[in-house]
Amino acid sequence: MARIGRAHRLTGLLTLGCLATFGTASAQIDPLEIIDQVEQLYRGDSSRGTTTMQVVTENWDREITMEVWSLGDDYSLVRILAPAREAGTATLKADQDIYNYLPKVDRTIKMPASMMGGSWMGSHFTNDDLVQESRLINDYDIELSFDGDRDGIVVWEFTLVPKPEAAVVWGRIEYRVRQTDYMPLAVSYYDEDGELARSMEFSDFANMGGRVIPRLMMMRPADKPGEYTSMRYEDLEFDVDIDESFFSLRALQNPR
Amino acid sequence: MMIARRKAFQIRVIAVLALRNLRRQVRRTLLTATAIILGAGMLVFSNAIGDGTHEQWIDDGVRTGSGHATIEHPAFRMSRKLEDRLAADVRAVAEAALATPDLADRVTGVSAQLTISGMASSAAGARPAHILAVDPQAEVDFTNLDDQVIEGRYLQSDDRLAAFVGVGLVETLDLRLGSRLVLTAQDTNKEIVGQLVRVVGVFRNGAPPVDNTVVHIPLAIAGEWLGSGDDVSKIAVMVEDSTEVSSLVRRLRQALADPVDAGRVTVLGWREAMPALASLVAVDQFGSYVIFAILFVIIGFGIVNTVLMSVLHRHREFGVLQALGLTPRQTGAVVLLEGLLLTTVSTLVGVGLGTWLTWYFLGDGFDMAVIAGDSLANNMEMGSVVIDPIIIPMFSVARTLQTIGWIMLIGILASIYPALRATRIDIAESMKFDQ
Repeated sequence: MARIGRAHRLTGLLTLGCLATFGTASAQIDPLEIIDQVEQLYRGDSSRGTTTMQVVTENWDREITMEVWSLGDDYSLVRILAPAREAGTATLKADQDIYNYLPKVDRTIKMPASMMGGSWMGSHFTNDDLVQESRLINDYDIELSFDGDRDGIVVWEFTLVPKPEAAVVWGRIEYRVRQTDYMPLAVSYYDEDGELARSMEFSDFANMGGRVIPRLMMMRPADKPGEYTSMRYEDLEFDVDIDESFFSLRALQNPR
Repeated sequence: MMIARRKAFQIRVIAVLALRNLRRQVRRTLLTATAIILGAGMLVFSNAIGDGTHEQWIDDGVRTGSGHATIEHPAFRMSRKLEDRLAADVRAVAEAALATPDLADRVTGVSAQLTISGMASSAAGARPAHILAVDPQAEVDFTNLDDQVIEGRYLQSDDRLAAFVGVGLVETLDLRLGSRLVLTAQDTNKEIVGQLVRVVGVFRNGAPPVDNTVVHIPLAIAGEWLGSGDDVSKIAVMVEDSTEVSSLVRRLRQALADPVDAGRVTVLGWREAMPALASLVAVDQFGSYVIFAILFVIIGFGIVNTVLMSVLHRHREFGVLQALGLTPRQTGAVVLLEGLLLTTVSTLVGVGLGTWLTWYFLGDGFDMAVIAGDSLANNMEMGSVVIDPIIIPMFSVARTLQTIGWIMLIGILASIYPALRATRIDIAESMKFDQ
C-alpha cells in the first residue's frame, strides 16, 4: 500500500508546520536525512494563515484570497475570502477525504476517488495534491547529484528515482536545497522519458510567525508554457488554539 | 357403434368435399397458398434476423459487463463501493452451484471481478477510471476486449503489475506499452491508496465510455492493493444464448436462497442488470410486432377473400348439397376445413422454405454494414455497448412453433366468416337460377 507522492508541496504549505532548527551541516551528508528534514518544513502543529493564489492559464487568469487553517498532517480547512463571488466556498481535508462546500447552493460534496484527479479550484493543483502527504523518502531512492554553487547560492541537488513498485507517476524528481538553511529552492518532476512534466519554485524567504519559510511558491506545468499557479502567504501564525473538532463538516459550512 | 361409424363417414365426406373444392379451383388455391407461404417465410426470416440481432446486442452487452446473470451484493449496484462486495462464503456457494454438472454444461463463461471506481494517473495527468480486477485466464473466455487489442496483449495469468487499458485513456494520459500508470482508490479501510501498474496492452472497443475509462488489472494485485484479498464485487455468468437466462437465474437463486434471504447477495438477469439494453431490445421487438400485425392482417384478408369468394361462387353447389341432406353445420365445417387445410399446408411449406432460405443465404452472418454503409462498419454503439455489425440469424423451435401457431390462428379466424355464410344458405333461393 504505497502512497502517492505527487505535488506534496501544496499540502505542505497548507499545513505549514514546525520548522526544525538545524545545526551545522555535517561533513558527511546523508541525502535521505536532508530531504526528510526539508520535508519537515511542511509538517507539524497548528497554523492559520492567509494566502493569495494566482492562477494564470492561456485563456484566463484569476486571483483568489483564502484563509487556511491546519492541524498536523491530517487536517486542513481552506475558505475563500475574495473575490466576493466565490467567498465562502470552502474545502475541508480530514484524513484522506476532501469535502467541498458551495455556499451558493448550500451543498457539501465529498470528493470521490475518481474526482481526485480534477483541478482544485481551477488551479494547476489536483485534489489529489491536497490529500497525499509526502513520503518522498519511502517512495524514492535518493542520491546527491550536485554539491556546489548555482547562481551564487550554495546548494545540494538530489535526484530521486522511484523504487521499483512505488505508486508514483514520476520517472524522476530533481530536488534543489539551499545548504545554509535547508530551504527548498526548486523541485522538477520528470516523466519516464526524462521530459520535464512540471516544476515548482520557492522564493521570497521570510520570517513569518516566528519561522523562516518560502512565502512564494510557483507551480508551472511543462506542457503549457506560460501557465502557472502561484501561492503567496500574506500572513501566517503558528500554534493557534484549534483542535480536531474545528475541522468538522459544520465548521466547513458555517464560518466563525 | 352405428352412430360412431356414421360420424366417421360424415367426417370423411366433409374432408373429401373440402379437398375436392380446393382442387377444383387450383389457380385460386395456389394464389392464396402463395400469399400464406410468402407471409410465413417472411415472418420466419425477419424473426431470425430480429432475434439474431437482439442476441448479438445482448451478447455484446453481457460481455462488456455483467454477464447474462450477475451475482452481486444487493447494495453494490447503487453504491459501486468496495465494501459492498461478495462475502467469501457466498462466493464459495455460488461457485459450487455453478460447478454442478447441470449448470456447468450450460455455462460458457464465468467472470469473478472486483469493480473499482478510482483514478488513473500518469505524469501527464489524471482521469477517472473504471477499474476491473479480473482473473486473466477466466476473463479471456468472457470478455470481448481481448479481441480488440490494438497494441500489446491481454492480461496473462502470471502478470502482476499489469494493466490492459482503453485507447482513450492511453491517449489522454500519454501512455505507451510499459508506461507507469498509478491507480488510486479507496481501500477496505477507506484510505485512499495508490498502486503502480504498467501498461501491457491497449484496446479499442469503440464505445467512448469504455475506451476512456476501463482498465483491467489482475485480481491478485487488486487484492494486495486494496486489502480485499480474493474478494470480488460480482460474479458474471454467461450462457449459450439469452433464452436460458431465466432458468439460470432461477437455479442460482435456489442455490443461494439463504444468503439472498439474508440480503447478502442478489442474482440479476441481464434485463435487470442492463435495463437500458433491455428496453432497447423491447422497443425494437415492439417495432417488429407492429410489422407482424400488419402482415397478419394482410394474410388474413387474403384468406378471407379466397374462402369467401369460393363460398359465394358455390352458392348453388352448397344449396344442392344441403338439399341432398348436408346440415348447415356440416356445410360450414366443409368451408372451415378448406381454410384450415389450405393454411396448414401453406404455413408448413412457408416456414420450411423461409428457414431454409435464411439459413442458406445468411447462415454465415448478415453484414449490416452492407446496408448502412461504412459509418457502421466498425462502430455501432447502442446504450454504450458496441454492436458487431454482422448479424447471425437465430432460429429456435419455440419461435417457429409460435410463427406456425399465429398463422394457423389467422387462417382459422379468416375462415370463420365464410363458414358462417355457408351455413346460412337459403336452399330454395340458391337453386332457383341456373348459373
